Amino acid sequence: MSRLEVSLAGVKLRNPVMPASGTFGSGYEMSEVMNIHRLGAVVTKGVSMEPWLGNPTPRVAETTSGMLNSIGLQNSGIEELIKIDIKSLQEYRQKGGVVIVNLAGHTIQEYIQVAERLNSESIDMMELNISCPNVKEGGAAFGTDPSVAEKVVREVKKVCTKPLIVKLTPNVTDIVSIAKAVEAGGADVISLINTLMGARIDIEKRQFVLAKKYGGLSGPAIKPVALRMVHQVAQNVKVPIIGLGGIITAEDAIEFIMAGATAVAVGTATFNNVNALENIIDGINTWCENHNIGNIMEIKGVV
Amino acid sequence: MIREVAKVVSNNECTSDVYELKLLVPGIAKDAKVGQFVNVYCKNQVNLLPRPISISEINGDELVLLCRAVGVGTNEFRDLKENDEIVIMGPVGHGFTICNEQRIALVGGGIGIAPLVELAKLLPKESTSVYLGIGKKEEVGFIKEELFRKECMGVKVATMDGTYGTKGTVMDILGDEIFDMIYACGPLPMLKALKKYVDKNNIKAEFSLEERMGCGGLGTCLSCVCKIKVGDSEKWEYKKVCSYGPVVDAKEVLFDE
Ligand SMILES: Cc1cc2nc3c(=O)[nH]c(=O)nc-3n(C[C@H](O)[C@H](O)[C@H](O)COP(=O)(O)OP(=O)(O)OC[C@H]3O[C@@H](n4cnc5c(N)ncnc54)[C@H](O)[C@@H]3O)c2cc1C
Ligand SMILES: Cc1cc2nc3c(=O)[nH]c(=O)nc-3n(C[C@H](O)[C@H](O)[C@H](O)COP(=O)(O)O)c2cc1C
Ligand code: FES
Repeated sequence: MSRLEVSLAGVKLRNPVMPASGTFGSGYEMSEVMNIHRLGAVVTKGVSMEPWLGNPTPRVAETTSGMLNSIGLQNSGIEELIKIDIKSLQEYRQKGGVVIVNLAGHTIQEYIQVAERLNSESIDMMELNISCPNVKEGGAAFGTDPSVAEKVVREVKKVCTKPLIVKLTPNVTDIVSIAKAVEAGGADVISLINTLMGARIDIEKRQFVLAKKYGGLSGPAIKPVALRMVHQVAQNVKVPIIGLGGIITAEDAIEFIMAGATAVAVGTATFNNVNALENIIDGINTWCENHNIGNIMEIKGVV
Repeated sequence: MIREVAKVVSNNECTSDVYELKLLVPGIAKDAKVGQFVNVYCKNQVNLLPRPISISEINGDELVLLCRAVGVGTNEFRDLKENDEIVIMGPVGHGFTICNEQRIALVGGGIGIAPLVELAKLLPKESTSVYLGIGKKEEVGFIKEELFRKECMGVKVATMDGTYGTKGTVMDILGDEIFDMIYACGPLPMLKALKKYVDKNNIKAEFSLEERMGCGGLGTCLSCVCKIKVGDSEKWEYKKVCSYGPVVDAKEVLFDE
C-alpha cells in the first residue's frame, strides 16, 4: 500500500484528498486549470431529480476568513448530470479516480429516486446531503433531527447499491446523536461538516448582503468547529469519516486525520487558489516522508 | 485561464479613489481578449475570494487595470508599488464582439468605463462615438478622454453635478441619437435605463455585467448568475456571469425591477 492510499467502505482512494461538493462543479470544469487525475476522489455538485433554479443573487458574501453562500443547490437535474458530468468523468475514473455523486432532495422520495437512477451509472459512491430542507415536514433540514435523519438514510440505503456517504449539517445541538442515528440507518461513511448558517449586513444599505438573508458559512473560519465535531463523531461511530470545513493547507488536513478522519475534502480553499488541492496532496506526502510515516492511516485518530 | 504571479509595472493615482495598475503578466496577456476580466487575489488569506477586475487595455505582455478603491481588496491593490508581485487568474469570460456597423456608441458609467478603453482602439474610428457618465469633475482624472478622442469620432461627458460636460446622466447625452450598435458597462441603474432604450429603439447592444463571484470564473460555484431569456418566450434561466458573460447580448438579459 502506498503512503497516501486509504480505503472508504471498501473503495480504495489513491490519496485521501477530494474536493467538497458544490465547490468544484463536476470536475471537468477544473481540468483547464489543474490536473484532476491527482485527486483521490471527485465529488460532484448536489443533484436533484428535476432541475432546481436556485436562489436570487447576491448568492455569496465574503466574511473574515470565510464566505457565506446561498446558491440554493441550483442544478440541471439528474439526467443532465448523467449525460454530461458523469460522462466527462469517465476518463478520470478509468485511470483509477473515485467518482462520488452528491444527492440533494426536498423529500425522502426524491432522494430515493435520484439514488435509484444512479445505481446503474459508472460511479463509485453516493453522498447524501441531508442539510436540505424537508419540504413536506415544515422545511427544517433532514439532518437536524436524529429520527428523521435515520429514516432518510434507511430508506435510501434500501435502494442504493453503491456505498453511501451521509453528509451531516453542523447546525444541530448534538452532532453525536445525529451521527449515531445515520450509522444506525446504514450509512457506510459519514462526512462532516456542511456549512454553518450565518449572515452579513451591509450597514450603508441597511440590508442583508445575501438576497436570502442567511447563508452557509465555509472556509477557515469554521475549521475549529469542524475539527471538534469530527473528533466527537469519530469517538462515537465505527464507520469511516470524511472530514471537511475550512481546510486550506496540508497541515489543516493532517489535523482532521489526527482527529479521526480517514479522508478530507476541500471546498472554499479552491476559490482562493486553484492549486489548493494539489498543494495539500503534496504537502501531506512531504509531511509523512519527513515523519517516517509509511501510510497516512498511522496517524488517524492519534489525538 | 491560468493563475500567474504578475509584476507591477506601475501604479498611478488617477483620482482620489481610482488608480491605474499596469501589470506584467505574459501568460494571461497572451490570451486576453477585449471585455474579458481577471481575478485579483488579496495577499492576506483573511480575504479569500477573488476580486474580478475588467481588462482595460492589453499591451503586449502587459495588462492595464483601472480600479476604484471601494473595500478591503481594492484598497490593498491601491498600495501596490512598482515591482511588487500579485497573484491573478485569467483571462476570464466572454468579452465584446467587434462589429462593423456604421453608427456605434460606447457607453460607460463610472468605473464601468474600464473595459471600453481597449474596445475603443479596436472599433473603426469614424463610426464610433463615446458617451461617458461620471459623478463630478474630479473624476475626469480616470476617464481617458484624450485616448477616446484619439480612437473615436467624438466624446461626450455627463456629470451628475454639472461641474464638467453636460449635467445629468449618460442617458441625457445620448439624447435621441440613433445607433446600430451600443456597447455598455456601468452601474445597474444605467444598464437598466439603457436596456429600455435599446429595446424600444430595437438597437443591438452588448452589456458587460457585474455580479458577486465565488470561484472567479471557473464556473464551479454558481454564485454569479444573471437572468437570461430562453428563446423568444417569457421564460428565463440563470446563466453564469463569469463564463457566459461578463458581456451579454442586451436583448437576452433580464433585470429585476
Ligand atoms: C466582471 C467584473 C468586472 C469588474 N471590473 C472592475 C473594474 O474594471 N474596475 C473596478 O474598480 N471594479 C471592477 N469590478 C468591481 C470589483 O470587482 C469590486 O469593486 C471589487 O471586487 C471590490 O472588492 P473589495 O475587496 O475592494 O470590496 P469589498 O466590499 O471588501 O469586497 C467584499 C467581497 O465582495 C465582492 N464585491 C464587492 N463589490 C463587488 C462588485 N461590484 N462586483 C463584484 N463583486 C464585488 C468582492 O469581490 C469581495 O469578494 C468588476 C466586477 C465584475 C464582476
Ligand atoms: C458555493 C458552495 C456550494 C456548496 N454546495 C454544496 C452542495 O451542493 N452539496 C453539499 O453537500 N455541500 C455543498 N457545499 C458545502 C461544502 O461541500 C462544504 O461542506 C463546506 O463548504 C465546508 O468546507 P470548506 O470550508 O472547505 O468549504 C457548498 C459550499 C459552497 C461554498
Ligand atoms: S463565479 Fe463561480 S460560477 Fe461564476
